[in-house]
Amino acid sequence: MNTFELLGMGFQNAFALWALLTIVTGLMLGVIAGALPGVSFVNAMAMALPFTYSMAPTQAMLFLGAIYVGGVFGGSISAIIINVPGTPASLPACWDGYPMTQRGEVRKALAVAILASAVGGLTSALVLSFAAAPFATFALRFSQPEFFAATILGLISVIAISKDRPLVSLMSLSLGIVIGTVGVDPIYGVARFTFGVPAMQSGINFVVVMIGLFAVSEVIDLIATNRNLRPSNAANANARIRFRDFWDVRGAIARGSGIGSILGVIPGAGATPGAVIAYGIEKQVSRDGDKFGTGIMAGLAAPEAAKNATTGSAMVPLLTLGIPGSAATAIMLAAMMLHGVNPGPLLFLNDPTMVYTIFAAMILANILMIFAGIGVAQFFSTLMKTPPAVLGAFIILLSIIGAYGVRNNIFDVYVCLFFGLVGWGMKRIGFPTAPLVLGVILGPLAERYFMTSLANYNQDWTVFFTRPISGTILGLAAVFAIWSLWPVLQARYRAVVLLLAGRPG
Amino acid sequence: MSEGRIEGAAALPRNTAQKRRGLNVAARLALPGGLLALGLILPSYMFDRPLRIRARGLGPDAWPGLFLNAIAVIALLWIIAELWALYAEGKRKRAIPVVEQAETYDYSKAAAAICLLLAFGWMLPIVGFPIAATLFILCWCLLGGIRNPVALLLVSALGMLTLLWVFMGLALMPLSRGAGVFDDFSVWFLRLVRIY
Repeated sequence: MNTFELLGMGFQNAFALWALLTIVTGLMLGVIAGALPGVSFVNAMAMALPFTYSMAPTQAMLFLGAIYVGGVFGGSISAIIINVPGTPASLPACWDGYPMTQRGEVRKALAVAILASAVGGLTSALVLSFAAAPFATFALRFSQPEFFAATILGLISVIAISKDRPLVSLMSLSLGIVIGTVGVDPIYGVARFTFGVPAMQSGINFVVVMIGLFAVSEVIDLIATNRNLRPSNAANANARIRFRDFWDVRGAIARGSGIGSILGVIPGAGATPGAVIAYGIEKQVSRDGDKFGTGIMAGLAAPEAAKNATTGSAMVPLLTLGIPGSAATAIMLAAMMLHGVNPGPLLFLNDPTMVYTIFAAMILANILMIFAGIGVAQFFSTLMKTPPAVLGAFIILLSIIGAYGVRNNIFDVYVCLFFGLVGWGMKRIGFPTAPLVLGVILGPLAERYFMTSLANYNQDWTVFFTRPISGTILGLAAVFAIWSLWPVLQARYRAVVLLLAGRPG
Repeated sequence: MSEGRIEGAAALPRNTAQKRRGLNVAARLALPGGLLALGLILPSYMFDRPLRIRARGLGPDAWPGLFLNAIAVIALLWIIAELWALYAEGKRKRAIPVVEQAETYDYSKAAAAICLLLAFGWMLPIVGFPIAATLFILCWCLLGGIRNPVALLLVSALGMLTLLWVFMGLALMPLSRGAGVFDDFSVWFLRLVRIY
């Protein structure tokens, strides 16, 4: 049977009543868990795992896959409405989604996010269906230096986000990377920067930092400005969402979908670097790139498409090689093993029905996600009608519960509050917080890949440049950095020349 | 003269202008200066006790050391950039910008909110989540200008109950019950609302 016939069979199974109910339930759970800051969809998948014992293997995979698809999108709902990313990958949704909400365009922002996520997810599901085997062969060549290079590409994207202040953004990123080194180091097991506090040995969790920097600081601002969260501009709030709005961001969605589909295949890359890199590239490509961060639709659409585009492609190494590229796919691997299913090339020969039912379900889940997303977003939108003081109190409590829930540790609550105050201070002086968060998220990964690469390759640092894939990715990172910095460097050069010529501009 | 801006330092009395210029310089250099100090001092506090590992190649201090050095270098570049900008501004005799507030920002309210947050963090492990959350919602709403006693009581009581039900009841999250007598109270209360 060819791919089309197998996929047709998969759709037949996915449209069965039990399968459809499983997908819808999983989607709703995922979107809600993703939208609740601190209660991530990965936690929801982990909590759902025991419930799959009683299910058939295919049904279990459909259930977890639907939570995954819904959860990756769900994080953007809270990011757009209350500036609190439900998941790390939803961070870029705060940069242009929340300013749209502040302008009263919450419905438009949500509609763009839902559509972009659905298109990205669909593209990725099609990639999964038709290109699984070739992608898997390519990903098999990846080793630690390639993972390191991919992480560096993610970190470099900070320069693109930094607008015209690359130095300050690099400082923020470096601070984040140093914060990420707190705790026991991954190679030697030596505790760093613990200052004699035992709780610091387990490190500073990025979720806790993120909640503090974004949620807590935002709520302090909310009460200090007594800002009304209801759409201020009635004309904007009631403005109809036109087809033209979607048509205008078609390029951003296409680029985001492509970037996400490619990055999703790389184990370890996942939704967060995918969304950030897509945002950075879109900022360079877009005509409104210099206005990014003020509520530009392309700045919202590209990362939204990219992060959901990683969901299907992240399943490629899982199903074909048995390599989970993320926490979510690791849980899916656990589910497969619990049910006695061994992922790998043989799975395609032994149980094509299961494989193509999963593929069809991923396509279906991304279409159904539009309705699940609208439903949950509608519920979250009603939050906007709540008085800001009440909303603020609950955001703080949810944040603190979220921080506590990461490791059931009161120390994380203190860390969250500390970073809340730091974030508030950073906002007041205009010091960017996003690069710091990226540093805390990607820094530990980069360190692990860097150190293990050197250990595996006899401390030869040239390995990062001599291995073809790693060298290419690092070359791309360098080109990306120069491309992003070029306008700033040009402007600075012109200012210096004018000043030296005695004609200050 | 445009609102919110002072049309050049010369428009002010010389002492005031000099003082303002001095404060401006200090404010702009304080943060990069502090970060430069951080980058230089922090490496000596990296480990609690002297490192005994004889690692071949890079040790556990390599990665954080690299980025602490980066912090110091970036801070130095930042200071140079600020000094250059100040020099350029002086040459251009440009207006001293006064930060324009797009919206009224109540710093006393922000300070009160921060104190409330710190108090909540301190109280949480002592009195437990049910009491701490109720008091926090109550105080925060009061700070936010809600004065209706019925609304205050309903929001704080129902809000706390909802959070308890979702997180302790459904998600089985072991939120703090407090210590001593507060622990006993929390257990009694959780039994009362059928969570335990």
